[in-house]
Amino acid sequence: MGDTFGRQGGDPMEMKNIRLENIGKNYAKAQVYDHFSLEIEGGKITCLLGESGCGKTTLLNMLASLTPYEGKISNVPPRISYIFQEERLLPNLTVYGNIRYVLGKDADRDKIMDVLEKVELAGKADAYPKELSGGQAQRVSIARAFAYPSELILMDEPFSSLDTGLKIRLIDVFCKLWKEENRTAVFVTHDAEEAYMLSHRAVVLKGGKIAADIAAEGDVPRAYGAPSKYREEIIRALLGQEKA
Amino acid sequence: MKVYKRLINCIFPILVVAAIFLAWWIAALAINASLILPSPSESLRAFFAYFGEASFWRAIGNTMWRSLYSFVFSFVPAIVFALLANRYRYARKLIDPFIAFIRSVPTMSVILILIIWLNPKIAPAVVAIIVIFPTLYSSFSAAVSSIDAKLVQMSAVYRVSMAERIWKLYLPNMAPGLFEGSASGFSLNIKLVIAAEALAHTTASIGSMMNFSQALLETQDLFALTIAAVILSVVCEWAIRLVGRAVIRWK
Ligand SMILES: Nc1ncnc2c1ncn2[C@@H]1O[C@H](COP(=O)(O)OP(=O)(O)OP(=O)(O)O)[C@@H](O)[C@H]1O
Ligand SMILES: [Mg+2]
Repeated sequence: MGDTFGRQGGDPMEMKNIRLENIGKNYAKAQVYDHFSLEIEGGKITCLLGESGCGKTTLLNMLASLTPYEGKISNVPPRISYIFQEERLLPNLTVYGNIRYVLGKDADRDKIMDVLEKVELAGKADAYPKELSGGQAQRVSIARAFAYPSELILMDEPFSSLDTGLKIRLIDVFCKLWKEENRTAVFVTHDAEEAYMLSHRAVVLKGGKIAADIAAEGDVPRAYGAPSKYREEIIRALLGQEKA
Repeated sequence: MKVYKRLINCIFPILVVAAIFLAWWIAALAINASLILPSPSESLRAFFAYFGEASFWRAIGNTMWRSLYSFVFSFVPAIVFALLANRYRYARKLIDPFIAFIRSVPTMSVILILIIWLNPKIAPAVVAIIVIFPTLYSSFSAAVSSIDAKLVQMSAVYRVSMAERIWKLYLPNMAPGLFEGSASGFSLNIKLVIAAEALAHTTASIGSMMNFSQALLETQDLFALTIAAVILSVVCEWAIRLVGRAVIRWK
């Protein structure tokens, strides 16, 4: 398994950069990537942006070894948390049960309740997925990813169905957790504001190539709405404009 | 509103059963020969007369026990095979032709051959297993493949153990199919056991009692035993569905 996908066990203390080299990826009809390379900095939050259908989810799936590809991806740590674009909750388990499910032997009631509290869902611990709203289900998926001890966290539009207030609070929560445990994070979003608040680097994809690669200075989370050159550059790249 | 709905749900089966009895009663009047077609009242009288006979209850007990354990022996391998076939492509390549082979053998040949080979107490159960196992396998296979592949992927990413996946992902999400397949499978199972018992002359069984009353031309007894068999299979089917509904609360 490890060899097929070029996966290696990493030292959790020292987060290595994840390297994608010469990646080729085709689906039956579409070529998504061709000779694509990217280095994802260990212990940092990298944001992926780009038009719908440009291959962001595909990239996360390749990192998680969920889809085959050509080329080499190295230094992927052994344990991965993944906030999928959909919630992917087991319908037969409660909110609490769904988080417990991924923790296995490590499951600890206090830890699960604590993370549910952080995503403001402690009151829904015993609810079944069908009883949740879209945003609540999404938060369970976020809680599951946070609770699972991993060295890499993949997030596919995790805040897409949340209101602004909740989104900002969850970005704060994420940053706290991220500082405590220092995971490498890859964060997909359509929203320049989210990218600006919660990333150290924004990579804009277009047609299977890197259209822009913007580094930011300073600490996350950044203040909502504050003027920033980083955000301006992201927006300009998303609009396909050249650097001013 | 709820009571009203429940009443409606009850009324239709009752009407259907009443219509069947009415047609039966008219046919019995027309034929007017209880040796050929006893009337519903004669049959019901014979049916209730059995209630006082210990041999009847022993036969019911034996036949039910045989149906039950043969069903367990079909059910457990059917689940295991369905899960294996879903998980490993090569397992499916082996299992599918094997199932197709068993399925293609005529039931009557299976019954007659097994009666020669096995003792009459065991043969009916084995017959039932050979016939029921492939049907259960097919319906359980469909249930496994209906499980959301995205949930399987999620479990793989979070490295959930196989035991945990079976208990919390596969079995519960297969449950609707498991109960539905089991309900219809179990009632077919009872009928097969009775048929094989009749042919094997299994002592103290519903099948052999039917065989006996046919030989003695006690047609009303044959009908009475049939009523008993129908009630057994309907009650079991209904009970399995009821348990299913209680277990699958999260739907
Ligand atoms: N399983 C699949 N089979 C065939 N084609 C696929 C499959 N998954 C994705 N694709 C195609 O690959 C391309 C990239 O898809 P992907 O899901 O990675 O896009 P995305 O950037 O995540 O888009 P969005 O922002 O809408 O989520 C799309 O053109 C899509 O049609
Ligand atoms: Mg996507």
